[in-house]
Amino acid sequence: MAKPDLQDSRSSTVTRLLMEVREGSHSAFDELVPLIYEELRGLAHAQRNVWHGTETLDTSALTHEAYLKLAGQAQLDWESRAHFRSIAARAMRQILIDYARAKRTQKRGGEHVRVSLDDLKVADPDAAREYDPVRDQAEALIAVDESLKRLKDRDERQSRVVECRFFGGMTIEDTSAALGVSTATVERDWAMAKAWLYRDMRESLADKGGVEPWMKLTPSR
Amino acid sequence: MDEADAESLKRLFERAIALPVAERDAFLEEVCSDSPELQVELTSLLEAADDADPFFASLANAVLSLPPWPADEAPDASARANRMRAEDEPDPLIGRSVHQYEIQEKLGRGGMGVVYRAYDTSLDRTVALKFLPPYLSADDSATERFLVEARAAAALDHSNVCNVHEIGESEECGRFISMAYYEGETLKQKIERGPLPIDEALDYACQIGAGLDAAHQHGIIHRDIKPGNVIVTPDGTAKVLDFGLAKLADVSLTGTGVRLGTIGYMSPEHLRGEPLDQRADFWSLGVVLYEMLTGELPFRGRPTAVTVHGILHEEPTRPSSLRPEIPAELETVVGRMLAKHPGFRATGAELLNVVCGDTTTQPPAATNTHTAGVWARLRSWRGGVGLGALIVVTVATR
Repeated sequence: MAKPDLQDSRSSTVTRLLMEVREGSHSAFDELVPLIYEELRGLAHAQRNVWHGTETLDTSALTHEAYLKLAGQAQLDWESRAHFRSIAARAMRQILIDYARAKRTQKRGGEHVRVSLDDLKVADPDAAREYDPVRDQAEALIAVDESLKRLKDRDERQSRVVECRFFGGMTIEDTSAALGVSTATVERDWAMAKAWLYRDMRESLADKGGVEPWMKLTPSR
Repeated sequence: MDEADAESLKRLFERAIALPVAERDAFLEEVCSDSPELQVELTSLLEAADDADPFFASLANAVLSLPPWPADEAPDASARANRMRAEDEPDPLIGRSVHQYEIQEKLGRGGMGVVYRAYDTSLDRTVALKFLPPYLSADDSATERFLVEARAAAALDHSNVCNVHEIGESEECGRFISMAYYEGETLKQKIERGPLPIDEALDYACQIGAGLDAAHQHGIIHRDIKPGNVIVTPDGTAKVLDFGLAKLADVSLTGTGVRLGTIGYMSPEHLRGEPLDQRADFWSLGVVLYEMLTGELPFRGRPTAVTVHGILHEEPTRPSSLRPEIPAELETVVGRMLAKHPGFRATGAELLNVVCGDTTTQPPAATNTHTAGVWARLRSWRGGVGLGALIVVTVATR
């Protein structure tokens, strides 16, 4: 546990950086992400048995909790809190992707294990692949992350909306406050970003030579 | 694409997605008349949008624990319609004998045939005889496949699976299945009287889950889990009927609409015509659990397309908004079972984890044997401490 004076100085740093973010500073944003990342990861680990596919991460609650710990004493207004949570959403994204990568590696026992053809000699081709929700979820999260990087190059605001809504569990209203755009804009960006991401994931999977099982929800057209 | 184009794309997307699917093409034709590229782009985005929503909702629900349900909707308590009742007309088969069976009474009729109570004179016992309709009695490869699976199902020995004695054939009446006759009533009859007590509903769900696990271990998928296919005996044992029957019906009846009666229990992948695995049965069990708890189907409506759209794309009304005393843990279970994407759907071992908060069991990659064990344990725990105590224990150990 942090000593009180350390906690205080961290808290005032966070508060100062938050003010700078609100004034439009990108460097303050970049400085805040690792600070919040550290706090969030500690909070997430404190939940026992974090995300084995059975336990979920309540990202919305986690970012609130991180806010209270890091900036709570400063009694910031609602908009500052929304700002904080939008930055926390970026940190949350990193944490989740870290988890997902670890899970994927763990599940595969390394990156390059392949099933031999002999293993596939079963009547039902779908049965060849053992059902494994954790791996599917990890693959899906990583694919979302990669597509989100491509979306950011096209439309940065849309990618921020996805970060807030999806990874940060933020409401339309909070997202609108954090990004300084209307709720209608957030809703429009959110709807279109989801469609764009989904299409992008499907296409990049097709490029890799096949549709992953977790994308099977997509009907073959 | 410059900024103005990007903005106009977003606005057109927003307008198009608000339209009914059937009207979108005409709308795009009109607004994109001078820009075929824009039309192609919008068409492809709109197509992806239909699949994107359930994908992100399932993923968020599975991993991020975002609220799985939309803002509370007004419950529609009046919509318990569409009941099918057994017909009461006189039946020429009653009083006749088929092989060693004396047919006594008509028990019911469904898409998969007519069921009679009969007396087995050679073994001196009462049985249920199901005669398959003629299209399920034909001699073709589909029927052969059915017989293979039906015999595998008949070999299942589990207290929650209806015991099948024999699959026979008579010249006059075609193929029939002789199975154990159980006193009691179907879950459908129970639900018709209203929602069940919460612990009773959970108990039946766990029993059905245990029966499913036993079948899944033998590679048998039910494909048609619904309240009418579950009989509850007077001592409270749930028996799942008709394993393997739905497969043949699917093969033979695609497109004839005979399946409409059970569409409310069908999984998204089933509706899409994709290959099914055991996870489809857990979706249907989730629907049954939802219905036992609330008295309502999670997805319903007329025309059928409304139900189909709901199953594919919408989140159901929160069970606790229909019945406030439903514990949050149980609501989570139901929500996880109704994950649109089978990869994110809760099944046996996960359900136990969610219900009991049992952090000591294996992650859900657990084997089938393990799953069967946890169902049994869940039942015995339930018997011992009751749901209320269980949840208190759950919270305390977190």
